[in-house]
Amino acid sequence: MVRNYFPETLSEALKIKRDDPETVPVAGGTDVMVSKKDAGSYLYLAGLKELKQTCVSGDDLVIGAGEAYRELLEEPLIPELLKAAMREVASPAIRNSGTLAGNICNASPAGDTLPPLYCMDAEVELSSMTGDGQVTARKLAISEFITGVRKLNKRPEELVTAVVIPGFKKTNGMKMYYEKVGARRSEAISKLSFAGLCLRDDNSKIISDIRFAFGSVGITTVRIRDEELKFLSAKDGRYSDMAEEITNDLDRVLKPIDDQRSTAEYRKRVSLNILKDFLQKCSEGSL
Amino acid sequence: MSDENRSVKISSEQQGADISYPVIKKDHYEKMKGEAEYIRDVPFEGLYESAFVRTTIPHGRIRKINLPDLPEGYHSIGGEDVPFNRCHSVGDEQPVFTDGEVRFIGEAILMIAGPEKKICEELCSRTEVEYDELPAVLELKDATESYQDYHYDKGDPDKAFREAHEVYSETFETGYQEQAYIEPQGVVSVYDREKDLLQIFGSMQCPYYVHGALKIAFERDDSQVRVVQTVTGGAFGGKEDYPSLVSCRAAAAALKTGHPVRISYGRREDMSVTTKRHPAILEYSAALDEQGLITGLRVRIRLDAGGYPGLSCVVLQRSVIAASNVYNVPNMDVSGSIMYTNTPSNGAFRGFGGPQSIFAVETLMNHLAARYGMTPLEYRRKHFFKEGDVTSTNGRVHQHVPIPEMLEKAEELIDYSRKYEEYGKPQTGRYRRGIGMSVFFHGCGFTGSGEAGVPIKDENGNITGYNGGSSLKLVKDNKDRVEILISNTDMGQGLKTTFSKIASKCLGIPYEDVTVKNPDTQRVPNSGPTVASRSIMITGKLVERAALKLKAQWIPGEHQEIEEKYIHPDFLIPWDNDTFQGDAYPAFSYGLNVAEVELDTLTGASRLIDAAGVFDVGHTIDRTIMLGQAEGGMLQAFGYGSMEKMESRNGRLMQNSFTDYMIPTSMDTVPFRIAFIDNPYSWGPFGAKGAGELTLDGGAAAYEAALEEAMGREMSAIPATPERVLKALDGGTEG
Amino acid sequence: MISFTLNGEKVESRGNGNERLLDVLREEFSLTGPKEGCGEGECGACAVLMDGRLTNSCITPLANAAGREVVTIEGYSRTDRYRVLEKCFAEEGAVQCGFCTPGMVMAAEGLLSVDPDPSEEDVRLAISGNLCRCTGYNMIIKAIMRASKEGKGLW
Repeated sequence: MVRNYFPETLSEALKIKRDDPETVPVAGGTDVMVSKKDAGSYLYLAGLKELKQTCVSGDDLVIGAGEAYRELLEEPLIPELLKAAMREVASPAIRNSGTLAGNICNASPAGDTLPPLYCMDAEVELSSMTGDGQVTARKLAISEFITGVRKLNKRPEELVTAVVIPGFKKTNGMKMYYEKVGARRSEAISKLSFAGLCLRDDNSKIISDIRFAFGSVGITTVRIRDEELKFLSAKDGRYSDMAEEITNDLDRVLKPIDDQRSTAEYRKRVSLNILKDFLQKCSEGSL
Repeated sequence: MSDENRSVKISSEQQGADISYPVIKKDHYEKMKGEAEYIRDVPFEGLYESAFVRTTIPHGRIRKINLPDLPEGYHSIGGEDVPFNRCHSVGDEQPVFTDGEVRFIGEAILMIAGPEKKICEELCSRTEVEYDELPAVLELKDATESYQDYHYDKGDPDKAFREAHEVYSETFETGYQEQAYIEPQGVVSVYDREKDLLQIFGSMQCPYYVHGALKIAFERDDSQVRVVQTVTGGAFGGKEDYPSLVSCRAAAAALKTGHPVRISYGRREDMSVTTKRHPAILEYSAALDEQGLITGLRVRIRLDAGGYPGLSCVVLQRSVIAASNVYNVPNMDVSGSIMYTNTPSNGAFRGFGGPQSIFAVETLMNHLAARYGMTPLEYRRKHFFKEGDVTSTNGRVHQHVPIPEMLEKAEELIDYSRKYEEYGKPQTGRYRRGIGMSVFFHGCGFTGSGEAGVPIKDENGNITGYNGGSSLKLVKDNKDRVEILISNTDMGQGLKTTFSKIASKCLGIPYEDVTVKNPDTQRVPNSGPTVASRSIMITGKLVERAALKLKAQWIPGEHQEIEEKYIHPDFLIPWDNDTFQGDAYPAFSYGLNVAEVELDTLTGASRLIDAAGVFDVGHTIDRTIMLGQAEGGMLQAFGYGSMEKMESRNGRLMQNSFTDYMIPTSMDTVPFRIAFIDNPYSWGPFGAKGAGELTLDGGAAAYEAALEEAMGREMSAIPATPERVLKALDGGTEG
Repeated sequence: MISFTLNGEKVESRGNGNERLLDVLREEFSLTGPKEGCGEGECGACAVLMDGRLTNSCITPLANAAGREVVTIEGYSRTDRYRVLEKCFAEEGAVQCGFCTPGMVMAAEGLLSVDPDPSEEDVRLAISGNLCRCTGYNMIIKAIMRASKEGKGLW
């Protein structure tokens, strides 16, 4: 018999997760139900009001794990880069139910929201309940949380309770670039995707910060801080020269695969085309 | 407001007007409200569900099947449960349940039926099958064995090529296309032991095909088999012969278990094992004179038939006959083969072999035009055939060919020539544009003398008559309401509505007083299958003739019945299927498509930004319904040319779900500019000709032409996926 | 027992929380308007409204319907808004095989209830998760646009 849990509060949910760690958390259900694998136990979180809040905490933006895409798309606090990706997720009905936290926990290399979240150094808040009933929480960088295809760095008793965007106001001040390449204009799982952020002083033409991340070209989202720093280190603002070097570096790093949606060759080629376009636009200040 | 009031209003507006004036479709309200009963919505007492054990290797022999212990109420059904274990299509090649040789991945070996679907599935997954594997042919290009070959000549092709100023050769490739009807395959079989009646209810195009297949497989008489079509959620050819196969399986299970048994495919199962449009390789050589005009064509077409031939030979007939499309080519040497590969069998899909050839010819025309410094339109104008010209098979173009009017209309709708010139100038930047045109035809109805049946020849070999032909019945009740009894099905194309319009117009009675029900082989005569764009032109003509006859004999308040039988047109040059000579079709419908696209040079992705379609389908029976055919068919065609990629790898279809096989969404299209040219055909009802398939014959070619202009490169294959486009941008030749 | 409101009536389902809402609607409540076209949330034939929002019932666990208001085509077809859509779908020829139609109607309501005066692009987007293979969409889009005008004041 399948065990179904309907917690009414977060602490109740955490207690259930502690006592039945195999239970599968379900928010919108849009990924869990598609997988069609029968788990023995489900923990339904859609009714938890505590997870349906988005607020500012210090410099951080804290997005409740129960927030559906549609709600977040209507929320003025959410960074545009993330919204750009969320608009491309599946279809209106899925955006009505599916959650941002769910997209993270699904840990697909093609997760639409992952490249923007990597660019913004997003963190995942993991909560759990100790044996004596204490609720504890820890935060993990998204790049440490997702460790592989459908693999998470998470203890069995933990639940993802929030997605945190640290210093979100700073990223809001940066110019953005987002590209999802899918086989059609709605309801497409990406062949590849790319997100970029750039902070450039239009007077001095100096770029003081740049971030970029690739989806669907490796087992997890690819973001390499060293390459970003290398770009920033371009002498005398000669970013264009550096752009070429970085593209060559990434050519060696990106390791996409052939599957039913595209080819490794195409994924790499287009990822690099887009990277070049992004870096060029950053250099020219034409983002 | 009652339904009655609404429909009365529409019909009074229609009285006296042109038949084309739209009405509310017969099935509109039930479909809108979700009340229409598709097979999965119909309740059956004591219904059993089912699941299949399927082959997992592309070629080999089954050595041993290890079934798990079946719980009470669960039964396994296999080849031994079918008296003649073959499913009749054109021939009897495909087993109902594969028993010896395995010829593709996904063949049904056996079926488990019982009360719960989940348990049936679980029992199937626990069934082990042992095989002796055999070498498999997995790609069309590697295929060497053909099921059937056709060849015909016109004029003196050897001479044309000997004397050619230049010979240009190009090989074209087209991919699979999945019908993607939104309602998956489904049937229920009910065996009535008392009456010894084997019954099928289900989603299908051709009840009498299913009826015939059941009779043969279960060695039964006409009266011992009954087939009833339920509301059908799209078909597009995909429910032409495939329902016969699932029906035979369901029937075997119903006979064995004594319960009604349902087969209801899931989407992935449906896409993995059902028939699709044939992938094709088309080799063209053109003999050209000094001006670059075509004096001869040598064409070799190979279609990938898959593991069993099914309908493939009939599909190939259309491909080879369409080898020169709407162009005058005096000398031709055309051959075609359907090739055996160890992949799922292919079959019917709207267009039926036409779209492959038309893509090839139209792309060839563009490439030749470029070589000889002409625009695609100038070059085409030098080749278009017209009334009185000779067809590829030495038949005649018997009626007016309105291509000049269609071209004029297209210019007016979308400003083709100006845009072609504009986009032909050098373009810069990430996004580039192009516009492309295709002109094409569709032979209406069955190929050759298929409508008449098998020719009867005298001792000198002259055809003296035919042994077949469709029939229909009109039944008038004592309230003067008329029912049309036919075996043709409404699968969304609006046949109940158009047929009712024809009858009501001829009889001068209200549209509401004419009905067409879903066919039941115990009630309706065989008016033929719902295929080949034949329903309106052939059966619709029977409706017209029967209605006029009834009108002449009309006795108010009395029950009356009228039967009518097909009459073969008298103007045709008799068709010889051995030599492929004569009139292949009594009439052609014509189409013109224009696609305007934007190409993203960074990603190779393209999108439609504007499109036009001009069609001659004779006279339209219902403007709105015809518009629906054009809108839907064109988008299927653009999908075929651009995003609808399916490939088999190691004998397995890789894109077997709605997640991975891309049919266009509402975001992938734009408002179409569509017009119809009125060109009545006297052998069709109210001048109507074939309509349904035409609309998807040429869009792929137009799309690719537009893309080529945007790219400044030539391509020879569809679908023009971004992967393919980007490769061509890198390495292709200048266009 | 999981309770929710179905087409305006309070109901209780004996189904398990992880059952698909689609199966519960079709089998337990005999509402066969919502259809299964793919079973993985791609085609929208199973679409219903949950608290007024378009939802694919084939990938919605019954548990998520708890305490919510579910409307299927059977309930919606009793409304005045539906009647406007019914008329406009007829006049624009928006129905062919009909299998996607109930889902399309729910998508139309999901849009018009929040945006009574949509642009063509808005309509295109709103039905972008509902696959139709027959019509090529344009006639459906026109029908919804027309309904938004003819049904002014209803939404």
